[in-house]
Amino acid sequence: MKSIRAKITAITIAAILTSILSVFAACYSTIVKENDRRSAEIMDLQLDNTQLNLERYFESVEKSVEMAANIASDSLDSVVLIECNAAGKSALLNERSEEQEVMLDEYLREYCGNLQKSFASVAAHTYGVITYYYCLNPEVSTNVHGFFYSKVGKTGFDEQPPLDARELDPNDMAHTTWYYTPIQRGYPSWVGPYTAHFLNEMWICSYLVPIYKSGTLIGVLGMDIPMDTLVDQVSQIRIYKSGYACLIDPYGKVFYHPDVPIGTEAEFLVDDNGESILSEEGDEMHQLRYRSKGQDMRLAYCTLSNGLRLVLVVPSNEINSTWTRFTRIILLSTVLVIIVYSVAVSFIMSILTRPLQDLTAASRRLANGDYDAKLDYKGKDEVGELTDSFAQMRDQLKLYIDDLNHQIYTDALTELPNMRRFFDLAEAENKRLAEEGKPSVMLFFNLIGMKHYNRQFGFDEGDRLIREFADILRRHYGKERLGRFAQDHFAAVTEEDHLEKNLKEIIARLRVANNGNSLPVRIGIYPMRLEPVGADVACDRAKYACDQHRSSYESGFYYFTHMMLKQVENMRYIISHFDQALEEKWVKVCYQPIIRSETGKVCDEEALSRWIDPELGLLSPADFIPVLEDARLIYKLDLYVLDQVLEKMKSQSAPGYRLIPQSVNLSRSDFDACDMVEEIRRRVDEAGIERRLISIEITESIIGSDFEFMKREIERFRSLGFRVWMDDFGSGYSSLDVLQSLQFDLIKFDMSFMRRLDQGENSRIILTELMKMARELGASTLCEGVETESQVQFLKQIGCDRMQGYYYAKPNSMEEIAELVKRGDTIPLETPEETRMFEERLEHQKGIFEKGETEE
Amino acid sequence: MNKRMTKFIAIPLSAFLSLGMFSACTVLNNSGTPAEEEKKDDISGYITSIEDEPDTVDFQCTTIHYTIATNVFNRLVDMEADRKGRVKIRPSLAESWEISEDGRVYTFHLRKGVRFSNGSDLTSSDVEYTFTRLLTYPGTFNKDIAEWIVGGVALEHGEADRLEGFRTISDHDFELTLEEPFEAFLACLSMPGASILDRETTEQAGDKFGIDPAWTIGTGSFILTEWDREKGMILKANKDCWAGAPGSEGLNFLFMNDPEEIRMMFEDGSLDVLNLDEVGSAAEYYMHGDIYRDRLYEVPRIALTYIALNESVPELRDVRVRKALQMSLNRPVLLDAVYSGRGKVENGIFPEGLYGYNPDLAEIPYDPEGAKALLAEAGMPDGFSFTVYVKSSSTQWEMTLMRMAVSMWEEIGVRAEIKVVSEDEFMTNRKAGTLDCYSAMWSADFNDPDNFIYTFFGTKENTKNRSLNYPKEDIMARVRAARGIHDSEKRIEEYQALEELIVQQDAAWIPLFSRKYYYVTSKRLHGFSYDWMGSVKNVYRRMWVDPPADEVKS
Repeated sequence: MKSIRAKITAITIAAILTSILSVFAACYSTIVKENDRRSAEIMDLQLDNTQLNLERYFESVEKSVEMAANIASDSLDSVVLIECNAAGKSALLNERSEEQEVMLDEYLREYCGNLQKSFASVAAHTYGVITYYYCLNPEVSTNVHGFFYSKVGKTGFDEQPPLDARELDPNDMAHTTWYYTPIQRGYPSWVGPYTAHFLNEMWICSYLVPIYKSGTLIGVLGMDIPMDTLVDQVSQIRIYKSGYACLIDPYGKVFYHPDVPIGTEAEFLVDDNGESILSEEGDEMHQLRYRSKGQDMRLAYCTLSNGLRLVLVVPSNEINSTWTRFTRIILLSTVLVIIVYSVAVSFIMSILTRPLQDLTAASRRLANGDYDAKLDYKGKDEVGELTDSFAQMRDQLKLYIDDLNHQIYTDALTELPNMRRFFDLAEAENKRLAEEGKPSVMLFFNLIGMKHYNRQFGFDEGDRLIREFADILRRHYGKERLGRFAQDHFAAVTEEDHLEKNLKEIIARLRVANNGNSLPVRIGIYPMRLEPVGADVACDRAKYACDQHRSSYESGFYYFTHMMLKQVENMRYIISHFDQALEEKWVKVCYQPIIRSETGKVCDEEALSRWIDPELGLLSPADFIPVLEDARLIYKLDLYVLDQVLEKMKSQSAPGYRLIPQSVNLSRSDFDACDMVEEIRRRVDEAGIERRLISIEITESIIGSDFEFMKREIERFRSLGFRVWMDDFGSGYSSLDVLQSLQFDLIKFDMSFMRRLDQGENSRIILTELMKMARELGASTLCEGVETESQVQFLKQIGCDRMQGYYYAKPNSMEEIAELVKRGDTIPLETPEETRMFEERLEHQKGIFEKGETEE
Repeated sequence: MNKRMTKFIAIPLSAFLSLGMFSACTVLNNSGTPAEEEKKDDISGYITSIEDEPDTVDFQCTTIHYTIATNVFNRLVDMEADRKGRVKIRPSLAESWEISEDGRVYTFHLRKGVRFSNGSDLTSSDVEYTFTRLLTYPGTFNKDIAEWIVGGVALEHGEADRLEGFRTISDHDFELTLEEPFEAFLACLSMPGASILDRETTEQAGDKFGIDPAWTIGTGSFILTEWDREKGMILKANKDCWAGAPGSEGLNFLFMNDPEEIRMMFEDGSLDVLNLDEVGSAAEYYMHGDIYRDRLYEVPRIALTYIALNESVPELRDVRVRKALQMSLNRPVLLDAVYSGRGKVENGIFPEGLYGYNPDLAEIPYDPEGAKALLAEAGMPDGFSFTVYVKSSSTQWEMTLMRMAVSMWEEIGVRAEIKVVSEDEFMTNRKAGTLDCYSAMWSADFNDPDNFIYTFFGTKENTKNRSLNYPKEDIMARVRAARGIHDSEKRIEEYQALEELIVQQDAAWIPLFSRKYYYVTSKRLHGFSYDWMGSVKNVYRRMWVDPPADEVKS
C-alpha cells in the first residue's frame, strides 16, 4: 500500500525537484550568459589594458618621431632644394651642377645638424627608444646620408656612422624593411618586428616617417624600440588559470608565445577546420570561440598600431569552472533540501497519519469483535472528528451487539441462558469442576403435562409457572449453570454432591409453586463420570433417562444407566445398519395367523417383521420399531413389509393356493414420508392383488395425534376398497370419540386386555361391553395375545369374532411356514365361501344395528 | 487532504520557490544591461567631414561659407558643366522657364508640391522675398544677382519699396524683367547666394536666420538641426525632400583646424571625407605609397591662384615693371616647390575647366634677364621696394609661395618685403584698395567667365575691392557689356580678347596656376562625388556610408 505519508513525501520531493530544476534552469542560462559576459569582460579588460599600455608606449614614440618629422619637413627649404635641382619635377629633368651639389650638401649638412639636435632632445625624453636616425634618400644627396644614434646600455645615445641607403639591398627585406617599407607605404608607420644588422641582430620595431618635400622623397626618419620591452609586458599576463597572451606578427607568425618559439606558424590559432581564427582585417574581435586540437578555447585579440596582434587565449573549461561549481553547489543543496524536507514531511505526516492508523487498527479489531481498540486522538481536525465519530459508532455497535447477544443467548421469558448459551456455560462449568476434582452431573428437567396445563389454564398461567420454576432452579444452581431449552425443558449442570437432596427440595418447592397450581417434574440425570462427553451429549443422555420414564406422571429423578447407554448404542446401531439390514434381508417378514373363533380356521394373517442381526442376534420389533419411528425411517420398513406381503400373495395366486387376507402395520410418520394411501394403492394394484385382501392396521395412538388428518386418510383407504383396522385398542388414551367418528372394519383389542383378564371380574365386564360396543358399531372384533384355552373360551363366549396369539401360532417366516406345511402342523385355511358367508353376516349384523339405532 | 496539512507543506514550499525565484531574479538583474543611457539622435550613419566655422550661414551675407546654402537650400536652377567647360542649366525649384526674345524677361514656373522643412509650401512670394531681402537686408553680399532685375538698384537704395521687375503671375508662376539682357543670369541664379528662402519663417526669424538652426529653414536635402559653437554642426537628412531623400542619414560637420588632429581623426576612421588641404604637409603621406591609392581622389578645381598687383603703387603703374615681375617668376618651380607640381600653370584669367577657357593663350615666359632689361627700360635698373601682404591665417604653402616669389623677384633686383597681417587687417586693406601685393586664389561661384573677369575687372569698385585699382575704364566697360552679348560664341570671343588684353598686354595681374583638389575618404564612404568646380560640399546628398559595424552585428 502506498501510504498518504509516502505520497505526500513524494509530492513534496517532486515539487522541490521541479522548483529547483526550474530555478536551476533559469540560473543556469543566466549564469552561463553572465559568465560569458564576465569572461568577455575580463578578456576585454585585460586586452584593453595591455593594448592601452602598449599603445601609450607606441604613441609616445610615434609622437616623438612625428615631431621630429615635422621639424624635418618644415625646416627643409623647398626653395633651396628646387634651386639645387634636388626636388620637384625639374630635379628629374636636370642634372645638378657641381655648384648646386656643393651648395646642396652644405645646406643638407646644416639641415641635418640642426635636425639632429632637435631629434636628440626629443629622443632623450622618449621612453624605451634605443635609436633615432635619419637616412637621406641617395637621390637627393650622394654625400650627405643623415645621421644615426643608438643607445648602448643606459649611458645615452652615441653617434654611429650614418646609414647609407645605397648599401641597402631591397631584396633583403628582413634587414632593410625599415627603409623600404615606409617608402613603399608613403605613410608614417610601424615596421617590424625584425632583426637589425646594425644592432647586433636584436629584435626591434621601428616607427618610420618618410619625409617628402615638393613631391620628392628626402629621406626616412625613425626610432627603434626593442621588442623585449613589449614581450616583458605581454608575458606577465595571466587570465584565469592558464590563459595567456601572445603576439602574432602581421604575417601570422608567432612573435611571442609563452611556449612556442619565435617565427613559427601560429598553429594554435588554427581551428579544427583548418581555418585561421584571426581575420585578415585588423579589426578587434572579442570573445571568439573555437576548437583547436580538441580543446574549446576562447580568444580575444586586437591589432596594435605596429601591426602586431595581441592575442589572449583562454581554455573554455576554465571560464566555465564557475558554473560547474555552481551546478555542483545546486546539486548538493538540492540533495540536502530534499533530505531535510523528506525527513520533515515524513515526520509531520507520521504525526498526521497516526490517528488514521489508529482508526484502521480499531476498525480491524472491531471487525473481529473487539470493542476496546484505543482511540485517544483528540485533535480538533478532520481526523479528530473522524476518530470521535468512529468511537461513537463503536460504542453504539457494542450496545447493539451486546443486546443482540443477550437476545440470542437468553431466554426471554425466564432470563435464563438458552440452549446454545447453556452448552457453552455447561462446558466451562464441567471443565471447572473437573479441574476442582468434583464429579459433575448434567440434569434435564421436564415439567409433565405442560401442554394440558396450558390448555387448561391458559398460556399466561403456564408462563407464570415456568418463571417460578426457573426461579426455583436459579436459586439452586445460579444463572450461569442453568438453561431453558424449550417450553417445559430445563437443563442444569452441577456437582454430584448433595444432588438428590437438592432435587428433592426442588420437587418439594415446585409442588407448592404458583400457589399450588403446579405440575410434577421429571428429572433426568447424567453423571459425567459415566463417560466424559460434551455438554450437548450429556444433556441428551439426561433427557433420555428422563424419557425412559415418560409413562410416569409423578415427580421423580432418574439416572442415566449403563443399560441406557447400551440402548442408546443399540439405537445408533439400528439406524446406521437399517438399510443394510433390508438389503441383506436381516429383516424378515413373519406371518401370524388370525383365527375365526366360530370355525377355528385361519381367516387372516398379520405381517410382522423380525430383525435377525448377524451381530446382535434376534431383535424384536419392540427393539427397533420405536427407534425407526423416532428416526422417521419406519416408512421404509412398512413398505418393505408390504412388498414382501404382495410378493408372497402373488406367488400364492397360482392355482391350488388359497389367498388369505393379509394385514400390514402403518406408523404415524409413514404419512409424513409420502402419500401413503396412494403409495399402497399403486403397489397393491401393480401386484394385481385385490385391495380387499389387504388390511391396514392403524394404532389408536396414531389417530389421536392428528385426528382430522387421519380420519381423511382412513376414509381414503376404505373408499379404495382397503380394510382398515384399529390396532392396539385400549392400550393408550383410548377415546371413545375416535370410534364414534371413524368407521373401522375391525377393532383389534390390545393384548393387555388378555393379561388383565384373570385379574378380576371388572376387566371381563369391560371387555365384554367393549366387544359389544364394537360389534354394534359395525366393526368386526379381534383379540391379540390369546395364549390360553380359558381365554379362548371366554372370548368365544363374549362373541369375539377373531383371535390371534401364541395359543394358535407365533409369527412364522415363509420358510418356517413351509416347514410346518411339510410337517402338516398347520391350521386349516378358511375357504373363500366361508369368508364370504362371514362377511355377509357381518354386513347383515351391521345393517340390523344401524336399523335398530334408527328405530330407537 | 487535510487543509492544515496542505498549508503546512505549501508554506515552506512556496517560501523555497520564491527564494529560488528571487535568486534567479537577482542574477538576471545583475546581467541586465543598463538602459539609462539617453539616446540622442544616432549620428553614426552620418557622413562626417571638416568644415570651417562660419560667422553665419546666411548665404546672402557671406562670400565664403556656402556649405549650408547648398545642402539645406535650393536655388531656382542648378548648373552643370563638363570638363570642357560646357555648361548646362538644369531645373531645380523652377521646373521650367521661358526667356523673352530680347533676353530681358524670364518667366519661371515653380515646381509644385515643394515644401520647406517646416512644412510650408514654396510659392512665388518666397522667391520675391528672397530677392527683396538680398537687396535690402543689411550686410548682404551677392547683391549683383538681384541688381540685374528692373528696380533692383532702386530698391537697394531705398528709392522703391518693392522689386519692380518681379511680377507674380500665380502662386507658382512669376516673371523677372532684367534691366538689360544678361547671358549668365541663369548661371547667376544657380549660385549659392541665390538660394530661395521661406518668406514667413525668415521674416519672423529676423537676425536669427543663419545663426539659429531652428530658424534656418530650406527646401534642401538636409535640415540643419544643431550648431554647437566651435565644435560643429549636425544636419539631418530631409527624407521628405522634393528631390528625394539623400543617400546618407545626415551630415556631421566638425569645426577643426589642427592638421595633426584632423589627420588622427581620419586615421581613426572618424572622418569620411578629407580634403588634403586640411592636413598641411602631411598631405604628402596620402599621395605617396599604396595605402590610400584606392581612396585618394584627384579632382580638378576651377580656381586660379594669382598674384594681385596694385596699380595705385607708383612703381607698379608702369606696365613694364608689371611685365618684369610676371617674367621673373619661374611659375613651374613655384608649383613644384609649393604644391609638388600638382596643378597647371595658367596664363590668363579663366582657368581650365571654366566656360570660356582659352587653351591657345600664349605662355607668359620665364625670363629673368628679359625682366631685368624691362626694369632697366622702366628706369629702375636697381629695382625697387614694395610690400607683400600675407594673412596670418595663411597656410604654410601660401607663405612658401610668397617667399619663393619674393626670392625670384630678388633675382631681378626687386626687393619685396613680406608682411604678415591679421585677416581683418588684410581684408579691410584689400577692400580699401591699399594692399600693394598679395597672393590669393579665386574659385568659381558659377561657371561663367563673367564670374572671374567681372569680379576683378568689372567695375572700378570691383578692382579697388581687390586692391587692383585697374585704371582702364574702357576695358571695364567692355567687361560689363560682354554680359549682354546674346551670341555665346561672340561673347566668349570678347572675353578671351579682354583676358588677353588685361593679362598678357597690360600684365594687370600675375596668373600662377590652377590647383587640384585631393580628397581621401573613409572605407565606409560610398558614392564619392564632386560638382563642376571640384567641390564635394555641394553634392553630399549623393554620398552615403555603411552602417556602423555594431549595428550589423546586432
